[in-house]
Amino acid sequence: MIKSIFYKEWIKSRWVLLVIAGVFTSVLAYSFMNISNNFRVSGVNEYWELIVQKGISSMGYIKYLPLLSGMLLAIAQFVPEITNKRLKLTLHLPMAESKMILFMLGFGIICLSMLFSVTYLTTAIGMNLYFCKEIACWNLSEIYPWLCGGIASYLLSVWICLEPVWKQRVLMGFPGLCAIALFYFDEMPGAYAPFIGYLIAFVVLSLAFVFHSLVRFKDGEQ
Amino acid sequence: MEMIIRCENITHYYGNRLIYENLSFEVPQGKILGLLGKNGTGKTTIINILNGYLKPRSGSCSLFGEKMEELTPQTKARVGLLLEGHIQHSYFNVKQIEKFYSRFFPNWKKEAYYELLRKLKVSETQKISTMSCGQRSQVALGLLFAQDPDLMILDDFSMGLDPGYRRLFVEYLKEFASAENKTVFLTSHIIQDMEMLIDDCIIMDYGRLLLHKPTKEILDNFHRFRFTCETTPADTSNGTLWNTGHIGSSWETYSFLPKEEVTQLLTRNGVSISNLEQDSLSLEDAFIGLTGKY
Repeated sequence: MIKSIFYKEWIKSRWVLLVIAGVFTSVLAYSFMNISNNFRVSGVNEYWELIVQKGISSMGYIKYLPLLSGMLLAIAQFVPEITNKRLKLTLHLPMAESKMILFMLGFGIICLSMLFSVTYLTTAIGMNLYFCKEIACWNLSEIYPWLCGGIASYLLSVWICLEPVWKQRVLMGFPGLCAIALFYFDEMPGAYAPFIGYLIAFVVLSLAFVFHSLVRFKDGEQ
Repeated sequence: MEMIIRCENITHYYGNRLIYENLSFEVPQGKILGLLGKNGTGKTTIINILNGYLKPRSGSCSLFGEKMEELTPQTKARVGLLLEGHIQHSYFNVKQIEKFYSRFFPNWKKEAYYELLRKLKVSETQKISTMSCGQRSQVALGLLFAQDPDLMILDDFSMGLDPGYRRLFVEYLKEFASAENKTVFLTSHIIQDMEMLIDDCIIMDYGRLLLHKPTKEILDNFHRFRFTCETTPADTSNGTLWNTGHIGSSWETYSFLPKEEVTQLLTRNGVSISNLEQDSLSLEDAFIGLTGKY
């Protein structure tokens, strides 16, 4: 059954996933080409100095990509479900409803996690090629709030997609955006280090929001 | 006889608009029950309540003895559901959707699905979103047959179907239900073809259940009476004559009573009527007689 749910989610979202993967690859490649170019044009010393002294980000181009990926994947997976209330067919399948939704979310989270892990690893390898270990780690610490923000934006977008009442969706959008903004306040590497744990806790908590919408859908709120 | 569906005292409102008050009915095993009503009488609402997708203001429903909001996966596997408009997962193609559903149902009958689809001129790789409503209805029906449920719940299955597809749907359904003692609960606002399908009939009016009787009883006993009367006939609102109306001096009324009793009712108080004729009715005519034209 799990295989079948994953199959359905894959059919719905494969093109979006392909586009997201393509954009990530292109932006990562551009980021490294840009570092290379800065080394040539400004000189290695000057560029290192900018990073160390002024905290200039080398990977800023990917900042909002996880956020957009999460939103797009949520739309690709859940808008077809809510269109014509197809979710009724999904929930009618012989499986506990909460389990069904968890597997659907699981597919999205696994896809995003894989994509983000590859991004993180590629960035780590690339950074270690261009910079010393300390600067590489420093730059990497800048990325993980953005990646966590991607998962949070996915879950909050699902929360909004599954909400059956349009007016309520608009109202949910505001706290959703505020919550997501928490992950993107500061570009300074290491700025999030003291409270990354709270951000991760928020991502886990976002799962509960999805079930809030599911209960409202089941009650036939209009 | 086991009751497959049981609804007790369902009351529901949308905002301040009453949909039903204390609606109760039961569907025994092996019956095909049709819930008929005009648009907006709450046919889809009852399907949603039955499947646990709508919480009524009060009352409860059960399927196979389980409360609607607590259906177990085992019970869900015994219920085939067709949504209004033959909605399916339209991002799949013909082959993919069969593959998707087959893993959920242990008694999946793949050949039943493909047998029905052979009648359609579609390839296995055709996407459901590119199909006509009639073709989609056959895909949905094929999936239901492959699932082989003990109870089918069909919401407005005739919607958007041309007479050919409608007849095909009805014939397959009748065969399915009668051959294996299956129970079918369906709603429709198109009454043509229903009389060859449904055993029992619930007719809904706005806010209430108008009638719950075997279809045969309605067809055998419910008649239209046409007559000429220059004044207003007596006793047209006593509950035994339905939707009495006239154009000029030509009157018509509907009733379960025999002709003699109808004549007595109409001519009470010395009112004179002439040319009283009794017509046998199709289910569609009977439906109009019971619910009115408007």
